[in-house]
Amino acid sequence: VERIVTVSGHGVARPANLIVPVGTRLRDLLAYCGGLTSDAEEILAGGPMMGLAQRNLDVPVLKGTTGIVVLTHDEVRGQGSYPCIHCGRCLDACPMFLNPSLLGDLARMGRDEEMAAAHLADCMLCGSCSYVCPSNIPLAQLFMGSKAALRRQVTAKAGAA
Amino acid sequence: MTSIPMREPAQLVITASPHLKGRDSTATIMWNVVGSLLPIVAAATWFFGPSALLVVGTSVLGAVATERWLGNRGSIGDGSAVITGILLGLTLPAGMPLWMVALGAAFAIGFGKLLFGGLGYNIFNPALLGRAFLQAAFPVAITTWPGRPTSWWVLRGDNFALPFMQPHVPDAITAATPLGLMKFEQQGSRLADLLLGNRGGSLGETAVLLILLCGGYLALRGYLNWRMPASILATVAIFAGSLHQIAPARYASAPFMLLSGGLVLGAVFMATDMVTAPVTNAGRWVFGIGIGVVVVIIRTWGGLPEGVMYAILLMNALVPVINRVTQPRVFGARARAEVAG
Repeated sequence: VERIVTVSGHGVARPANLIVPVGTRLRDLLAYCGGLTSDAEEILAGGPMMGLAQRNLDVPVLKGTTGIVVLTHDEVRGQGSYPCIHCGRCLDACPMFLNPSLLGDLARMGRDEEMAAAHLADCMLCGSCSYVCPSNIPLAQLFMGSKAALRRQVTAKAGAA
Repeated sequence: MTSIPMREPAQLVITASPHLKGRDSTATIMWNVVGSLLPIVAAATWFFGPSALLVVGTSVLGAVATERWLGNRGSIGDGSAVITGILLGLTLPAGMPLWMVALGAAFAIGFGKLLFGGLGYNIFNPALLGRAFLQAAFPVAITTWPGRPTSWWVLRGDNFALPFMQPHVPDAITAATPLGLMKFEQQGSRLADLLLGNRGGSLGETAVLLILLCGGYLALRGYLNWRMPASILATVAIFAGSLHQIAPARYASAPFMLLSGGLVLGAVFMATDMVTAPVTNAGRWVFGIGIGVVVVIIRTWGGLPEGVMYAILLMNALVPVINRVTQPRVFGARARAEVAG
């Protein structure tokens, strides 16, 4: 019941690949790696593209944990965004050939059903669209929310039937 | 393992994935476009003297002031108002009275962009909408092309005319554009002059070679999509070239059509405005071909010598339709349809 876990990022004093028992708390893991740097701000379970930010260090290593990334203050993604200028970079980046630009416009208007028609279900939340977006629009985050809303609708319909 | 005391941030930051971000921002793109327009402004000043700086400067000031007055807070920083200002200035003749320029710039930003909701929401290219307004309001001033004065320092027209007064334009300093000469006097121009910009016309449209260089830089940096200029220029070359083959005496040759008027400036800097062009690559080809066809039709059979502005504005209006019919095919959609069917 062990996992190989990569602990890395500029916020870790001594990055390392470790074999640790499942259930090891992040606090112990990071302390073993020399602790956090003074500008460490965000801790991710998973990689920098799809990893989830963690709320505290009591979170354990799970059976699916592959890596812990610690981001510094300068690396944490800014939240400010510009309007979509329809540059089309997200269309070029999407591995599923979706139209994230259109989906993003629909998501911000809450038009979930039209998003389903535009193949939202094929989105795997890889985050490539958000990465390339010059306007810093949190596309993957919007899609996650819309997917959840659509799932709730389907469940509600199934419950009513 | 005993727990070693470790310094911890009081509050961990929580943001959604992805946590990485590409380098470019919308402001980077816009300011790069501004930077690549500056050489063209410099060339305009070389050919048209201080009047060029006056017109472009007034246009930028008018655009930025309107953005600041009516736009969202901080929206000047994104650089798009400066681009609109420069582009509008570059489409005007050097002798344009400055009060008209300022009015056109205010119209471009106010009606062309902010009325629709600001950056990203406008349907028509703001600079061209501003120029269309000026063309409708002051048809004489916008088609008074300056000739060659004795000294570089001489203003190329009555730039300082008072609002609503008749500008004072002595006939001696006006000249015709190559397209005007061709249409109304069946007179050609030297292609080398057209290529280097040594000819009459709007401020920024003359130095074709320089425009292509600046556009090439933007395309290499990924700030400009090459598909639109390529499809526009190819369409004009093929369409005008075939007409010329059929009746060489009646129709202008393809190189003349490509190098004269505002075609290259429009193809490189106006049609490629991301906001008002299609978002799909297939749509960009359609958009460019449409512009090319309309340009040749207006120039050849229309009443005006030049049609680039109307061609782009017309195709701007069709962008939502183009986007809808050129949606990318989703990965696996065909296989799924086969399974279902």
